[in-house]
Amino acid sequence: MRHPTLNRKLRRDIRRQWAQFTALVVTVLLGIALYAASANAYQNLQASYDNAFTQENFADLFVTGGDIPTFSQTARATAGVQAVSERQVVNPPMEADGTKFAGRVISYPAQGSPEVEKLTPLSGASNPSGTNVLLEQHMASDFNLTEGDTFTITGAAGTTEVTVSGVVASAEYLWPSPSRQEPIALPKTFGVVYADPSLTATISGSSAPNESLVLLTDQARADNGDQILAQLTTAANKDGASEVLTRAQQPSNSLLQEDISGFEQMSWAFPILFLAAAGLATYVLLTRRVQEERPIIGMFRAQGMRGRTIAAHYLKFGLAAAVVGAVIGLPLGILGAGALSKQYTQMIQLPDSLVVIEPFRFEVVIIGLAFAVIAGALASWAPAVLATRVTPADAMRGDAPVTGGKLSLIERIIPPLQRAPARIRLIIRSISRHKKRATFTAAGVGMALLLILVSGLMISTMNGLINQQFGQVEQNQGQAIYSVPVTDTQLSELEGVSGVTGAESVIQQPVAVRFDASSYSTSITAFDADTSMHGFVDPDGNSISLPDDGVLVTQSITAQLPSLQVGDQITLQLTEGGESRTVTVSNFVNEALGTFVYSDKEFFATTFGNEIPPMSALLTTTEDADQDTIRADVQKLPGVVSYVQTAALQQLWNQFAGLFYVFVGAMLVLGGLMAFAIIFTTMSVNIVERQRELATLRAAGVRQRTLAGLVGGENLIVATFGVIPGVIAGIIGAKLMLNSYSSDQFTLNLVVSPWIVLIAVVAILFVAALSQWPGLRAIRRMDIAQVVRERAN
Amino acid sequence: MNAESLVRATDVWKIYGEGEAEVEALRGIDLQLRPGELTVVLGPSGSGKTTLLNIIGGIETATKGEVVLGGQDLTQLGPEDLATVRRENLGFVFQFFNLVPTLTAEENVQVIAELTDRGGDGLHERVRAALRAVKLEDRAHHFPGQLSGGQQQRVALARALVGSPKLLLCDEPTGALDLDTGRHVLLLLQQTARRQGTAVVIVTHNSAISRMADRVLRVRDGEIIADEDGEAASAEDVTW
Repeated sequence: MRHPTLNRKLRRDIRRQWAQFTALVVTVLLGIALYAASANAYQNLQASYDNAFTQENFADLFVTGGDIPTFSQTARATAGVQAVSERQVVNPPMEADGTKFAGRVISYPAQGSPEVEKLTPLSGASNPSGTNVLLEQHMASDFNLTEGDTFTITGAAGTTEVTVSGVVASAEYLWPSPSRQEPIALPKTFGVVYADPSLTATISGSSAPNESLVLLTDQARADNGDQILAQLTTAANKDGASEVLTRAQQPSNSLLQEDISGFEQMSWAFPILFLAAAGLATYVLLTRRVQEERPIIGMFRAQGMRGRTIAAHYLKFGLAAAVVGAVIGLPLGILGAGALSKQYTQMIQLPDSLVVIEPFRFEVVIIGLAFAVIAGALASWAPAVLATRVTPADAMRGDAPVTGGKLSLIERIIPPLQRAPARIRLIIRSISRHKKRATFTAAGVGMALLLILVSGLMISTMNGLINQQFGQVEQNQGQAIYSVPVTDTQLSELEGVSGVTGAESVIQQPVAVRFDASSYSTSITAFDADTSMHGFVDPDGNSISLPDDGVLVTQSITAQLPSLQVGDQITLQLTEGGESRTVTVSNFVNEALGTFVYSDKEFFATTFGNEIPPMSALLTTTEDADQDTIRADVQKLPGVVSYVQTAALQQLWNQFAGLFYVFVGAMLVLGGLMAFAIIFTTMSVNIVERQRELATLRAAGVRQRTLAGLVGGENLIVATFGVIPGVIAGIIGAKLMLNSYSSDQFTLNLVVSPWIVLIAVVAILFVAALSQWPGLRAIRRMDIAQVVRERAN
Repeated sequence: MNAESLVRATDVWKIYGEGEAEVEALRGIDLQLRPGELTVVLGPSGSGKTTLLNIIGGIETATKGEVVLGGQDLTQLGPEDLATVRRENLGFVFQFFNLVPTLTAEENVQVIAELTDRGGDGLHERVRAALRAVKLEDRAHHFPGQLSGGQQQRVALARALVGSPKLLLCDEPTGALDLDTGRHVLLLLQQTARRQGTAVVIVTHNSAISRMADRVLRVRDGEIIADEDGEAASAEDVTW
């Protein structure tokens, strides 16, 4: 049966409480817009990556070192494998634009394209030929190189001048990450070049391929890809591979997937938070409405209106706010997703030809609407059911039954409070009069705090990470990489550079760490026993020294080798040379960036022999030294092929942290809006409910500011109830979020900054105070005569 | 049972609470109401008269006894069936009007008319006719806040009558009104009984109103202590 007049009542009820309704709509809108923006952005970016992987036949497995031909044969014979390609990869020093740096040369056919790991041409030639090479786009932009420009590569046969014949993009280097241990390379410290096989062989001094790339069929990837890859990994390890990486572990892809997974997390976290807040506010508002309309509901029931008709009437209020919020929020979110996706793909320089941005995804719209409708229905359900329980006899009773006429719990626990000034007792009893409403208001404040703190504590964690990494761990200011062994001669030359206060040679070798049946590729760095270039901090935060008879391993390795413990024996296999030795893990160390193995030089020599010399040196400088000048001077020294400034790395991390501040600022605004919406709604309900008693107090001569203090104080006290749970939830939420981002590449240990917690709490309480202003204004403008004469509406 | 009875209550009891807190609001009530009859139920506060009204109207369920309305025993019906009976047979007028503040006078009547609407154009005509009957057609588009107390009660009466109820139950319909306005409302109730053949029951503590009744029931301590013929005086002559 249709009830058009009841619907008209609904529309007018909404208009009468337009401010509260708008608060609900805005809260729903924010949640749904953020959902649509993050869900769409995530899907756009994932689709773009998938498109890049499909177009370029991005490998499912990257196998480095060992018996490549044997492994490739095994892989080709494996069911589910579509193609296997072999290539050579070498990391020679390069010099371009006056800068020396560590580069990477990858062999690429002079004609056609390989079956696995194709390139996307951006300009110029599509294939290298002779000394004409293709540049990966990031190197081209870093060094400002275009077709026709030249630079040098120093390999086994000496230095070769090469010419840029084309610029390409590769899915392998969308994020130009040298390795999993070195996820972020400073500009002008790393570059990728594609050369034909003969030039690559000349540079490396060998024509044997040292990498095998495996591509699965789409069907196999979907059905049992993990199983096939596990099988192939075992085979690769048996064939002596020094590193085996799946697509997910490939450095660039791994970093980018971590990044976009943040969008996926936001796509469900935000709507849950905001819709929960809207739900609380809707519940409070509707429950009050049902209470207020008890006599009318009773009259409807007395006149024979069905319970479900009454329930539907109140359910529609919550659904209306949800649907309006969703209808506005979805297009906003979709627009936002487009802009976000475009910016992100531009930032990582994904070629336009590979970008997939779908302006409209039907499933996102449906899910967004469903989120909103379900939330609206759930929030309105209890008040709607409450309405059906109003008996017709309630119509006889006139006003809603008065509640709360008893001592509060806290007065019974603390009896002296019963003799407190009446206005204090009024505040206490008002709070306990509507426990559910007070709880929901506090919960809303808690949720707003959760939102702010999760992002705010990520800032303090980032700062903590940077302080630890560049204050405790990296105690050097730079690393010079040589093409010759570093002896006292080189160290003296380094110390002779103006501003340099000390230099130490270090041995660095890529290794595979094997434990149980698992393997992890990283590097071992051997320092002087009493090194001052690197700090070692155990998991308890104590400074420790390098052991005499074992190695230190960063604790993050347990992400890959979960059962590894201090005292266990591990096998270290050098990637270059293939020698394996068994050593003891003397202790774990805590480091934020990367996963590494450390020893002193004597232990390294004892373990692996004296044939592996140090090829780099770490140096310290004076505090006021010009780091750029030092870099330029060091690069001029004989044998130096590249120089990495620690300070520049720190600056890069600080820039990343800077992005977090923008994010936190946005969360502060959103959290504030959420808290405002909830407190404004509950405050309005409180005032309407108590209009007559407030008017009576005014009529009796109580000052306006006293009244405002009573009502405002009560709401602020309720808001503070949400502070402690909100802080606890925020800390737990931040920890969970950081754990989800932690890996062998980053160890994100939560750092709780008391200042950030304090700022968040003060900000929320300020918003709580501000959100009461409309209600307090309503008290000020109350028509006392009218209210005390008539029943409150 | 008298063939003309619209409502028959037999040995009706209403007991609230248990043990020492037990209250017998109604004790063994026997009652018959006839169409077109205006009955005033008189009694002091706490006598059980409102409870009696609620039981007859199917708003509350008797603890024991039988209440038959339109051939159905209300004591055997569930809440939704009771609502159906009320929808098809009853109208209510309350002391505090219980108008929806966000609906106009016309809409307050219409929202109830829609409950029994069987489609077609008859709905609006019924609403208009109900407002005409209470002489408020010119206030149809006013909201309750723009109407006086008497006008609001007349809207409530129109709302109660729009479904052409067989039985109209009024709980202190003049309790919130001044003398002149109250008399006017009583006159409308009297006319409803006489012209439309509706059985009208008015519950009140104001004995002056009993003069307009066809029948007066005096209730005390949950029992009908007197069931007598009323003066049936014109409501215009009632004064208090």
